[in-house]
Amino acid sequence: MNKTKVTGLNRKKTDTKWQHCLKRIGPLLPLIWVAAGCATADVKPVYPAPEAGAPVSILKLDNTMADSAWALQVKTAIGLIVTVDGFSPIEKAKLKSGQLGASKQLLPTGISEIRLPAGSHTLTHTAKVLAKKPYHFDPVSISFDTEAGRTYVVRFKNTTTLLKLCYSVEYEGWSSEQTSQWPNEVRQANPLGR
Amino acid sequence: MKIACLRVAAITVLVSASAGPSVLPAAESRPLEATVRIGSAPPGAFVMVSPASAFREELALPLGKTPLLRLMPLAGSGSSVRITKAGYQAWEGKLSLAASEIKAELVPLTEAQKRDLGWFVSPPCRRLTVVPVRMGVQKIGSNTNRFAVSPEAEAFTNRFLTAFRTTMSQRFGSQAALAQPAALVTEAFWQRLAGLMQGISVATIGYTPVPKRLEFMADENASLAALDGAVLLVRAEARYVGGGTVFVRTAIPLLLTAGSAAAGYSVANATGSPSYTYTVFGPAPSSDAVLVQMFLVHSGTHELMWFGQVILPQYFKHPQVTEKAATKAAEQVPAAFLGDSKSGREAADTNANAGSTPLNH
Repeated sequence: MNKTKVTGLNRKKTDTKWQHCLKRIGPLLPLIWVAAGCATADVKPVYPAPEAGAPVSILKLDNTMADSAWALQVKTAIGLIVTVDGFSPIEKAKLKSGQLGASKQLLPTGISEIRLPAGSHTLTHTAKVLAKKPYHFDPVSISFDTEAGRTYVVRFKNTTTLLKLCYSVEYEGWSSEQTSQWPNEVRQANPLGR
Repeated sequence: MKIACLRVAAITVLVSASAGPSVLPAAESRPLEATVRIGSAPPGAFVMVSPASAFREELALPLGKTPLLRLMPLAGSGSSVRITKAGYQAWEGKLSLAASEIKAELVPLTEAQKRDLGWFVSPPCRRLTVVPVRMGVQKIGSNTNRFAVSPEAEAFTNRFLTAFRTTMSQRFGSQAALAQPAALVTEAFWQRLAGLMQGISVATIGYTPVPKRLEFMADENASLAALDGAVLLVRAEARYVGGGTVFVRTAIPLLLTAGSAAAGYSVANATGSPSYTYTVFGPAPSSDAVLVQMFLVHSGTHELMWFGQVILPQYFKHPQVTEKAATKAAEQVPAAFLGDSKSGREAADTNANAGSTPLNH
């Protein structure tokens, strides 16, 4: 006996179960996509604004790396995640997800400017290989002092080659004593090392 | 029924994506992040945090100088904090989720405490003497893993000292001099100096309640006293990797990668799997670098006033270290000592006014 079940939807007899499921869940996909993209569970709160009248310094994060897996570039797309003193450098709304289903935690391409109170700070950066999840970068922390009225620049560049996934970091505004202690290149860790 | 299940699953995905991990019951046992504010009166004190309930320096991490603001994980039991500043009693307290803000009132050392702790104040320095304690070239990863002072390292040492002396003269003029007292350029003195530094947390130099004093042998003390003023003990070593080591460091990762791929392929063939994975091993990073360490010591009190370290990655033409690398290192290092990346007279003028040079300590 050849038994065929027909539902209310336009299911063809030739449809497989998966095709049928996709048709059912299809209308929900945009909603799932938006919800997943807006997920900010891992995102830190934004850096608090300095008190009025307090001496401040400027920290510029110059991100020349990708913030999207679909960015038009020759190299493998690497997204950047930065925290300053544990806080997110910019508002959650301005952060990028980079790829479908990921939470928004990537620093957007371009220059992000942060007003920091003069004093000692810690910047932590790591990166994410977009669309290639097994690879990861270990976080790198640098501690530094800032003086009121001065501007400091940290520039991130994707220096990936055929053999290695990596990004480089350049520093402006600090003495060479400090910058020589900080890594100027961060390489992808071996997946087995985790 | 299947359709209903799918819709429930989709809704579950939406809920978990928007709610995040904070709704998980396990969150209570994990450290929670809190905004920590630490200030002190007077400001500019050094803060260290220890995860234990009682402060343990060997476990402590430097957090920075007051005032500071951090978003950091805090366990329910809290962390212990030590705040130190020269001339003041060490302040100890606790950070917890309930009390994440500290405003420490630092108490100056009493006369009795100064006497008991051996407090001293170094007199101002009018001269600076640069002493090249340890200079040379070291080849890493070979059987002859010794520190070569001469003749292989002669070119590096001479060029480094010439460039270093020129840069220092531009900054300090006739106040700076180069000296090589016999007692201070020996391997024994270097070993003693390195040993003395082992118990010192570099981050706390200048922020301990009592200045750090280095204890040397009698003949070394006499040599230091003869120099009068501040003494900059300099170590400059060029390190490079031999050709054989470079080959090994490149070949092994390639072999491991090939082995991993072959193993994955054979397993996939045996099991009939349509795909397989393998691991790519990257080559080890190059170790070629010039390492420069500087210890600023007061000739009279032996106070360790400042410590600086610079590691300059350089690529040498094996097996000889190029003179260009030595010049570059010698020109960059004084910038670290002066506390500014500016060079020459401009830096001299700036530092004379700002008082940021360690010599003004």
